[in-house]
Amino acid sequence: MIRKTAFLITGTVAGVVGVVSYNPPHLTNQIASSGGTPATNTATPAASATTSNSKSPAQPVPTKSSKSAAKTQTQTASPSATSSATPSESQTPAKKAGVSGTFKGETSQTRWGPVQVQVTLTDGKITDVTTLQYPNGDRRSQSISSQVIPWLQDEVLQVQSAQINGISGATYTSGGFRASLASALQKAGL
Amino acid sequence: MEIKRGPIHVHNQRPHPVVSQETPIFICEGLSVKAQRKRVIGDQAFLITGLGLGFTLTVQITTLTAGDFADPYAIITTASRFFALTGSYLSIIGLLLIARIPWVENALGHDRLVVWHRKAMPYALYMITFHVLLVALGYAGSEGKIVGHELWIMITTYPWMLPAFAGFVLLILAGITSYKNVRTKMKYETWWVIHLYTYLGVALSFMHQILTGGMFIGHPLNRAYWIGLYVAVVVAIVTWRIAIPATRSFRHKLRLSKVEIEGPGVVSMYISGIGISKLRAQGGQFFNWRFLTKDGWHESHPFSLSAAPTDTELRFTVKALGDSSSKISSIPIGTRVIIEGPYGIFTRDMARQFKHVTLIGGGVGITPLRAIIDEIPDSTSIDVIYRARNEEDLVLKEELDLLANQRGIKVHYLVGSRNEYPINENTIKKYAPRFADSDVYVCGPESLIDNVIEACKEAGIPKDRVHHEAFVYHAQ
Repeated sequence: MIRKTAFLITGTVAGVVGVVSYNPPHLTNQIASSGGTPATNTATPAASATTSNSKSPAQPVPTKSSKSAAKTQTQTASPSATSSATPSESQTPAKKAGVSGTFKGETSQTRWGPVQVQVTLTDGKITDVTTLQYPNGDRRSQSISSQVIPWLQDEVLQVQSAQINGISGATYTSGGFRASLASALQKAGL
Repeated sequence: MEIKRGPIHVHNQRPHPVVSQETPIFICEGLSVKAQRKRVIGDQAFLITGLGLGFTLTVQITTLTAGDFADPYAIITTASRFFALTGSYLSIIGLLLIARIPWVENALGHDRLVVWHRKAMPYALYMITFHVLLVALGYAGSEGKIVGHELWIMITTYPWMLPAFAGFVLLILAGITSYKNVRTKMKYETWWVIHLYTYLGVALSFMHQILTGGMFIGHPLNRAYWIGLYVAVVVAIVTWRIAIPATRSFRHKLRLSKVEIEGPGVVSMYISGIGISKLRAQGGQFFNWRFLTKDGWHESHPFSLSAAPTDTELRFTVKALGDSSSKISSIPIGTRVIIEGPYGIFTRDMARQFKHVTLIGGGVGITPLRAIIDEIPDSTSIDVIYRARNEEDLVLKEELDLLANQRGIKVHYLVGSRNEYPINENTIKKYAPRFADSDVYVCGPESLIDNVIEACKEAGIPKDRVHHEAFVYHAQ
């Protein structure tokens, strides 16, 4: 029996060490950034891998004719949405003129599910915030999300940056929201 | 009179084969090839079980965040998830233990698997109970609600939470009815049906894990692992508990062909069929027998073969004392029989040598030994020590006497109280002078087995030459 217990424990330790060394927990940061851990990206996993090659050169250049741009952006966006973890330099010219367009943030994985934010900029100003994904896997998350997300969105419009305070009692969702928002604004070059 | 060949049986009723706690730790050198292979498979089974436990723990570990330890209630919720995962994993292992997976059965022995199932499952239940209580406490605390109220909200509003709770109740019921004190007071059929519902209970709780478990939401690999685990268990159960027994019984066209009265209250049941040798059953093994009668089809009886199987016939012998066993002896000839098995590693293959073998049986425990005798080479000298409380308890005495005359085995009947014939090294040596040089097979009540193991130790017999199978009698 001692021998068998030893085998059992060996297996357990091997399993834990093996997986954890490959995919360590994110204890320091509440938000597991989707870029770092492929395993945790549900939102558009295939997209994030493929699109950066094919579409990214075109994608992050928001034209000034805002409306059509915004449209094409959003249409092509779904595959390319979460993609460019490294926003290309093509954004720099747009920055100075005051960016316009719609930008999707990366999907943030939170304790309760993914959060993805999309911002619309008009001449460098945040004019609209949409939350494309939010925790709604269960009733509890649904009720929290439906309450909290409008607040967060309002706060963004007020603050005009990713420096939002977040909502206590919805720490995870707030954190995920903040991270995704930050990545969207980064894409926009703000 | 000719020697009957066929199985003989072992329990009065509802026999549940159990091996004593002292599992032999095999000594490496000199193990037979078969025994060695069995040991390797057994070790692998434990390694894989451990690996699965490791993966299960990492499902939580890799998805932990700082927020899981932010405040006491968050910690309680985190602990609750730990109990949920490990408890569920343990219950999955519990199902696999009794899933009749052939190589696991052969390597570790059916009786041991059943014992482990019995010992481990209460802990699975405790852990799942902790999960339910702690998650309610953790959520209630973080929202400032009363625990009962929070539990109610969770059950009524979360997806699949009501089925999960129903499943939990089913598991608890099976747990309560399996407590010795409760179980002995209830009919086997009731216990069996309630126990069958645990499959439903486990199934009902599955969806809430996948849909609301924080470690699965947004973590497809974790989810895939967990789903894979459950799928594997379903496949195992369907294959080895349902499909294979059904097809085997059908293919071999097994029917009850003869019931023979061996003595007062003792009957031998003959099951005949075709191509039985393909089952590769051996003396010392047992089957779960299910007779397809109107009121008995749902009951299966674990009885040992009481003679080595032939290609056309199996035999077991029952001491018909209790309700169900006497019911068994009244089953009409020609009844279809469904078998699960053969199970058990209490066979001649475990012997290290065949110069001398000592067989020690207590009461109906003689029956698998009787079957093993059939398969031991003629050149082997055999001593049989047969303990029984009184003369009527000597099952298969005629057959043994016949074997003594024809094959030259020595049978020593020790009839009387335990004080009269204490089983120890001296007693055994008195009847089996070559005891110390022999492979020892013992089957009977646990006390007898413990005594024999002790005697073997004193006689300096290595553990890998001592083979035992115990029977615990329920519902007396």
